[in-house]
Amino acid sequence: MENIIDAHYFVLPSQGNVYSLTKLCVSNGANKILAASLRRKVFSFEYSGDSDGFLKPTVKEVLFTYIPNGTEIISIDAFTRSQSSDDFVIGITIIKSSEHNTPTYLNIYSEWEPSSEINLDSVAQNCLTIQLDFVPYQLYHTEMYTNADKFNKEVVWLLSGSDEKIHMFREDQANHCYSEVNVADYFPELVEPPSIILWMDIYHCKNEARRVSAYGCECGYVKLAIVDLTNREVLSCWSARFEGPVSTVRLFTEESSLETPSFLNVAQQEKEEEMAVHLLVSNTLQPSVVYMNVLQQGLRNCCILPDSERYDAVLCSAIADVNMDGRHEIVLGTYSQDVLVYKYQECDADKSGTWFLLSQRSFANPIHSILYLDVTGDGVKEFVILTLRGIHIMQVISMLEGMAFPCL
Amino acid sequence: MHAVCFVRRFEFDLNGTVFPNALSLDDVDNDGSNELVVGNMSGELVIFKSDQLWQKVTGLGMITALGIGDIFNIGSNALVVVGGDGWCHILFKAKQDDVVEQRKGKLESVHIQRIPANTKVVLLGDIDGDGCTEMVMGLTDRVVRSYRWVPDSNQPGSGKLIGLHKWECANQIGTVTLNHLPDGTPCLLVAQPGGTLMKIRCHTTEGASSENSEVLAATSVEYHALASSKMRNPNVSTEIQGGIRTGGTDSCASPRYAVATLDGTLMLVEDESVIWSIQVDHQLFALTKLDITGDGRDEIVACSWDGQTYILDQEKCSVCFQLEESVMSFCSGYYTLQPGHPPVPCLVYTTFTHKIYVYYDVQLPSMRAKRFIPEQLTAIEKNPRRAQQLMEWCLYGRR
Repeated sequence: MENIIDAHYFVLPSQGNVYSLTKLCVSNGANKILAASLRRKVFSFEYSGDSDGFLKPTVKEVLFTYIPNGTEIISIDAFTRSQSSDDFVIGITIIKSSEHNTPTYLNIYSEWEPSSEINLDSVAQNCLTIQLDFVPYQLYHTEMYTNADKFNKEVVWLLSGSDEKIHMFREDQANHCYSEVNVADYFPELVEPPSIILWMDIYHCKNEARRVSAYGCECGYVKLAIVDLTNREVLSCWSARFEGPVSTVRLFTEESSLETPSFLNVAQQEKEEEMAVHLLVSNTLQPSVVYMNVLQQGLRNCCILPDSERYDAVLCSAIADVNMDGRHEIVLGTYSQDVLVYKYQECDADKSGTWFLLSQRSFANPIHSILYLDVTGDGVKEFVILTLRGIHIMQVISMLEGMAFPCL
Repeated sequence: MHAVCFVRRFEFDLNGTVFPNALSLDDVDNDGSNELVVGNMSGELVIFKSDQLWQKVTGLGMITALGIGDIFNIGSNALVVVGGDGWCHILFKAKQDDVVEQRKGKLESVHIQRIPANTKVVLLGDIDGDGCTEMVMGLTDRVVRSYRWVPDSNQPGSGKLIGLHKWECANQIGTVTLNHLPDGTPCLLVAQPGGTLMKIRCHTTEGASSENSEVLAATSVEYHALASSKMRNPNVSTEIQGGIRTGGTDSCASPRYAVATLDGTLMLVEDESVIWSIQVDHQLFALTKLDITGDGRDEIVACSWDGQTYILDQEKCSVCFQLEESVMSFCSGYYTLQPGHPPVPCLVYTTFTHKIYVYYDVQLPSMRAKRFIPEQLTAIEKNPRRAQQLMEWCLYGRR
């Protein structure tokens, strides 16, 4: 984290939580950030370019409708309906606290008509509200393939709840509404967790024929399942138990899977083998761990992230190629106001390796959420770090200065 | 506006009220490292070296201002502590060649003198171009006085301060600062309410005997209004900071000075013409200069009562930092973190919760965030979206 500099910082009027930061990946490359603060305000952040190469940060409050007075925002998530357009769907879960009951809602915002250009203000005005009978936790979305047709992708909402269940919400396009469907029909691996699911992650592999799902619970239970997508059958599943709540689980590949841009006439190398998938489990009390190569080895090959328990509870994590070596590093954000970067080192002898603490950086407040994406539009990714007080945008600079690009 | 959040800081405790001019950063004990000196209203003076308290002196009266400089004109710094009650203390520690000896000794009071009371600001510097350091004091009685050290013997501290000039201003004094004309002639700038200033030039006449008091007192005073249409209130207190380095080797460019008012106007001025001015919605009470980007050009640092700190370069690019506490006094300067290492720029705040915060990791690579666009890339790919994808693939793509 030494060569990473502050690009911008802005303070939120009230604090957020681990679920209150999301990204909007716009197709023209100018990505935006959405950050929700507890007391009803949602802010969007983006950079607008200047003619002389300097960037102008823009923080704007997005006035989402149907978030009444006295409500608090719990989680926020967003996706596009298709890869090519900017047809965004934004989900916000809110809770209204009163003396007698605490009604909770999932608000889903989208453009009425599918549009090609993003207009957040008009998205924010089109709301479909679903009343919930539980307190919402993580709001997650994933792709689902309907009727064995590989090309018929549909994005669905998955919402973890205080009733120790995952709830699935699917768009009914004919009636233009969202309705809850039985999660067991589509995600049989997500039923009956032992306690509240704090974080889930889903990864598709083998040309979308397999799905790897993982979740971590409040009681410390972690489950990993591999599902065959053609008949939605759980092929194998593993579980593990930790002492404290599991803050995040993340499935990731060792190397970046970014393909060559299509406009470059570079011969695509055929993928010889599927990349190994690892599972990061960040713990609040115990050291965080990485299960290596879960497709082959399940939860058998466990690597501990050394000293990750010595920085108070780990609240959030991110997978990022921080040093641009083509391999993913693990970034952890802790309550002790530190961001830790772990790197994998392979020992040549037996192909096994260890994770070690590559660098560490302190912030002024506890870290709630970390994103690693390109918000400046130059192809270099930035860190977006949500702390208790505000949001840091951090640029990777010094390493690039004087870097030679042999391929250019 | 670009904002940053500085994290790394030292935290010191100091009870009592610290006046806005009663803190300074400089090499006070002549050991080659810069220290932080803070004095409070109850006469306590504390000196910090890196992360700890190095010396504490008590009984200095109500410390309203202090200055560090070569007041004895012997090539070594001394600390001048001025109380609002009319006592001026000079503390001194001689430079020692032996490193061990140098570490052992502390500052000692070498001179105490009665001066007119109600001093609010002290400036040590060469005001008349004679190569010697004089002392200028601004009083709350709308008076600016200058003094010169007259030694009795070679012993530092034996001698006395004698008054040279006395100027009476029309209005309350904000700060007093030193600026130079393009030819190197020093001139005093005295901030006056409403963003106006008095410019005082002291002439030294070669060959004139010092008894000739008429020649000695020959000064010229100009009054500049710095007409800015944005000025909201002619009665607000004003701060001024002179000698802002423009960086260039061009010697004919005169150093610029900055003016800030309590109602939030901040101006950069060169030769009495306003280069730019901005209006902020915070009450600016302290104004300093600091080279934060390390490019040899000074940035202007202005601090408001509620902790909002504006850092502006001379092209009007701004960065702000919010200290999340109310500020009692503020200064910026260069502070040595480890003996032997060069001093680093830092921001010093004292707060109403009896804390001193020294932010020492404040260097910024640039004032504005920039896209990373290498030259080769722009030559190959004109389409910005494609350039972005190409860059991304180069940095993060499959190997």
